[in-house]
Amino acid sequence: MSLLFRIAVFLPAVYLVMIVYSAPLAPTAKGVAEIAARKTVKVVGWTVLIVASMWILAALFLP
Amino acid sequence: MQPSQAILATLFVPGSAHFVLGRPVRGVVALVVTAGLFFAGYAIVGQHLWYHALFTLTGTWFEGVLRFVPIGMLPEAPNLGCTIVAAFLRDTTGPEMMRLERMPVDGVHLGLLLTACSGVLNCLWMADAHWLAQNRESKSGVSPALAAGATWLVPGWGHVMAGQKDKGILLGAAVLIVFFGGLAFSGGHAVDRVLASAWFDGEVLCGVGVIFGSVVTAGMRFEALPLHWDLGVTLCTVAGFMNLLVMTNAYTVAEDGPDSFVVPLDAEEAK
Repeated sequence: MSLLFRIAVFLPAVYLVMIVYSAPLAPTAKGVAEIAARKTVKVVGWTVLIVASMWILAALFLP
Repeated sequence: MQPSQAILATLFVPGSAHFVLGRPVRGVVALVVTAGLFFAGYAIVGQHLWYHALFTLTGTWFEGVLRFVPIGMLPEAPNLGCTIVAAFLRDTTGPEMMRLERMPVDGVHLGLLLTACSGVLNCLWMADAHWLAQNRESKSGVSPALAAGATWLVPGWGHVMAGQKDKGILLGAAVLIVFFGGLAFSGGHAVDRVLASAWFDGEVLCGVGVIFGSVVTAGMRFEALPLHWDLGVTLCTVAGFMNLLVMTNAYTVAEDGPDSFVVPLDAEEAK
């Protein structure tokens, strides 16, 4: 699986999951979509950080 | 009748709590639909059903208990009364019976779908009995369990019924895109209890998807599994659990009315 393919699946899937996760936080579709967008950015940021950390650890410690 | 007693009564005999709570017609419908689906499915798959238990704890003292109270038989276990009756009908003696349990039968996908749906439906009947026992009025005018059930069948429908139409359409689209995206990645074989039994327990939470997958695509012939079959199975299961969240939210919206939403404990969380 290429990196581009993984990103192309991961980003929309995270946004759609965040829509459902944010559903109780707003009574309208517009409100839910906005909260979900902010949460998606947060989750993607943490994901990039964690994956980058694992790559660095692998480069440092794995032969 | 206490709400917790209503749940317990429905767990063992679907519709029994509705009788006690003065809703005999709904009780009969609950009993006929739930038991009917289970035994129609059991008539098709027979002994093979037991091959799909999520866990059996073989070799432990608990194995004997699970033999007659099969709580590891998910997603049928919430329909515990029917599952216990079927467990007493089960013949486990000899290698021939073990072979029968492993052998898929004609119409296996439909049979396993029917027994699985009976478990999900009984969860909804339990929720309905719990609501009736509280003797409360829903602010949306829709029964919360009905909203949750409608959402199980068609994601987002419960929100539409309860007055949050645009939100229901958005949530339904989110769940269905993930589910049918997964089904497409897997070449239609993500929803296949014979191939991926444990994953089916999550997928069954998205009614329309699991019905379509089991009835239409699961039986299609294939020579080799598609390249992204595992991705498809994961997406379909995630979509099932997404729909579980939508169902619980639909229940709350039906309960509290169309203007209801949760203010997070940490107000910054919403930003």
